[in-house]
Amino acid sequence: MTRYIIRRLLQFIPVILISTLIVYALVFAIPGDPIRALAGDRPMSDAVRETLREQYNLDDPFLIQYFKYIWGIVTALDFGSTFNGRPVTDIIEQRLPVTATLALVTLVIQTLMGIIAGILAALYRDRFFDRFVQVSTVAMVALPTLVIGFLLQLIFGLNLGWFPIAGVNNGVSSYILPALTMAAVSTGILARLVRSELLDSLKSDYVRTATAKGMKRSRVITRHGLRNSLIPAVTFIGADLASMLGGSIIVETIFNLPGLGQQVFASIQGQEGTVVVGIVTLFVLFFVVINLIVDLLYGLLDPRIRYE
Amino acid sequence: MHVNKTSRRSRATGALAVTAAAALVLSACGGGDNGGDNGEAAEGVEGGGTVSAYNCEPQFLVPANSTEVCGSWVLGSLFTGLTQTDFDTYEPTAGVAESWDTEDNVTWTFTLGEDWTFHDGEAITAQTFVDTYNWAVDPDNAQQSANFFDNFLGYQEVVDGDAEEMEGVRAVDDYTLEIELTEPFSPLPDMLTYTAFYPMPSVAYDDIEAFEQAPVGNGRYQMDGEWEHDQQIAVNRFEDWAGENPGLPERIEWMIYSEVDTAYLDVQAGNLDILDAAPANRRTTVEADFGDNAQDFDTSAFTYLGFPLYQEEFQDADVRHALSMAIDRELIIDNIFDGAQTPAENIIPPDLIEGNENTCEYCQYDPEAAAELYEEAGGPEELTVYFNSGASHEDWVEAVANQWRDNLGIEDITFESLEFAQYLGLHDEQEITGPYRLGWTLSYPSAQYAMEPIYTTGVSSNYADYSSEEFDDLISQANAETDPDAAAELYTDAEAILLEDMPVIPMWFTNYQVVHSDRIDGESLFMDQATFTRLEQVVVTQE
Repeated sequence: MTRYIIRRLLQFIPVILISTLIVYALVFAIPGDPIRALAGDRPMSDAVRETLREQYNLDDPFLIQYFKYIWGIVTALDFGSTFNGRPVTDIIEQRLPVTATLALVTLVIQTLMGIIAGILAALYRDRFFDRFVQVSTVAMVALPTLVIGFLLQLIFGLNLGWFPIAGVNNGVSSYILPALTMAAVSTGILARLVRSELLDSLKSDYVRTATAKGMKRSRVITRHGLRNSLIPAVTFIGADLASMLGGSIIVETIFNLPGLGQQVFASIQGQEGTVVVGIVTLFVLFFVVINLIVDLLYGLLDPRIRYE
Repeated sequence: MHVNKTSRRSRATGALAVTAAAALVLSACGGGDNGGDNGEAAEGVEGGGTVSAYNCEPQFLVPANSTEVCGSWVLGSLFTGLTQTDFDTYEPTAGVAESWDTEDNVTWTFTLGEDWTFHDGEAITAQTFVDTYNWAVDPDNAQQSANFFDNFLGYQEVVDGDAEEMEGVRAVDDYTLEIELTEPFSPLPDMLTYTAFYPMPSVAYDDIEAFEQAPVGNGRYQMDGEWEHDQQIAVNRFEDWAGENPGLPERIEWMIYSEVDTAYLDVQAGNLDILDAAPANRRTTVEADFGDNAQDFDTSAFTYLGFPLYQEEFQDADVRHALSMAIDRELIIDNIFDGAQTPAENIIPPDLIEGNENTCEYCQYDPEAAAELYEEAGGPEELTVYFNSGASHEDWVEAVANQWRDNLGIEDITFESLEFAQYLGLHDEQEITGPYRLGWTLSYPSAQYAMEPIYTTGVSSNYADYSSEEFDDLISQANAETDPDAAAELYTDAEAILLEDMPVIPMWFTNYQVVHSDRIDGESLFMDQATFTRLEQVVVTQE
């Protein structure tokens, strides 16, 4: 088990290196001079432009730029800065809590709603609640995030006034609408997933055996049916949590949450390579760690799984 | 502002603000001077109250480094330059300088008021300006607006590293500042109202990065705490401000949004007081959503279609005239902008003191004459139209192309939509092969600034590569003219040449629609030529 974890951790290194290289290359490939665009319609003087280009190593060839970037990290923990001089580490420090809170609230909402709805739908199969879950989840999966976001803002923010429309100045309630928006698709998928898995396992031999032995129905469902049907759900939640950072780009922009997603979007537009790489690398790191945790969780859920 | 707000802000927010044709500007600012006595219209709360306003995240909060609207708007409240603009007349009026004088438009003497201090108590003298200006042009400091000083005597030497300080900026005594230019420049007092010319306290030079997080200025308002990135910037009224008409609100809070639609909802819900640029896609619902809580303002934000005159097929003026006459601006404005732009018949914004009755003969829609002219001149049979992407230009550029297709029979029209950085790069390399969209907003209200930086031979923003000796001469003469009326006339003559030669097709001046909450007296709202809502004169009617 320990060896397994160490081996997996070692695999992170090439993954991270390669992903930074690819992201750096992608930002580098965006045409146009970002310093030129900084000043807008009226060109800045050549002297100023040259100073800035030099400051951000923009005149170097790609590999040299990339090497300087990595070298800065390795030797001085310098992750670079935005074109207006803010260190990337400052930005991450300021924005990570926002995105983390958003992800956490989203996770809680989608896990609770998705799993409960899925279980109830399976238990009351073909009854009204089941039909309701089936129809509503299709709608949740089908509606674009943008539309859901604006609808929630209109209904619960503007008309009912229950939650703030935007910003992070109202504590956790600031995160409810954005989290609901972000959770919509996954809740829908999760509910359907849990429903079908549970239906499957309720039909399986070990459940029939347990029932035949005279075990209480609630215990059969939780201990035998549910536990086994949760493996795909955990996989899904893990993968989803990791990809949430991507979803945060849209949601943070609509709801004006100063998180990492918003910054990535702005920095791609402004061609701030080091910022994009810094944040995306963080996302990648997060992704691989979550994947490892998910893999380890399998063992808890299904004793047949062994790590080597 | 170098940046045309319509392109820059919408790049940041994904929406372009457009507003209905408006005759409200005069009534909105009527009766008020720079912000003193508008309070008569409605009862303001005691002390002035707090006003919150939408803003985008500034790039920089150092005066000489700010080239976009988000930062310059904030800086405008934190700092006062040598001169300020009187928004009733768009003439320069006293700032830190009580008066100024020149005999030849080359050497200018500014007499400074003696009561001016920075928010931290440091006294402001002529030396303050000498230090600030020299710091701003020093190439080591890489200030983006450094080239606003390029007609100051000694600028080039400092840029080239041959001198430490500009010869042309001198403190004669504590309260007398002398500015010497390389050539006559009558709009200097106008230009000095611009952000790049605000004074900076000595504390700024010690640690400019720390300074930027909470700039210490000399303006009507002072920072309350630090710049909270991507969230808000709050300022309180500076009670020791030495000017004549202090700010009305006690406190201004700029709430920073990444998405203008969200701010729109927040104003609707009463969480935010002012959104100065209602998004284009809300045009049709503004009246239902806000009723009387919406105001339209004309601005100097000028949109044009330029010609790359370095390409042979556009060198014949008749081709340019025909293309212009084949555009039905009214139709485009009605259909695409819901009537919310003012068709441009001029290059100089009509609200300026030099605004005039020049008529743009070739801006009149006349498809038959256009077709004939185009045919005679042998205009190109295929066109590529250029614009920057992501700034809501697609629809109207396409509409223009359709009209060219219908009216001039140009069958083959393609579009090049590029990211802003790449777009400007193509211009710099002179690789544009067809009409292109660009805009221009007046950083300071002067006819000179509406024309000289874009159309004079060889200047950096002359993307059309236009060159007319007659025009250049008239601009030089106007800049040298000491009598303002005579100067205005010369600028008008210069404009007439542009309208005749048509290096660019004037399209429209953008109207902005400001929406506000019930806490604000709408009559007190005013947006200036550079698209800044003058928050210091807003009357707050409810706590």
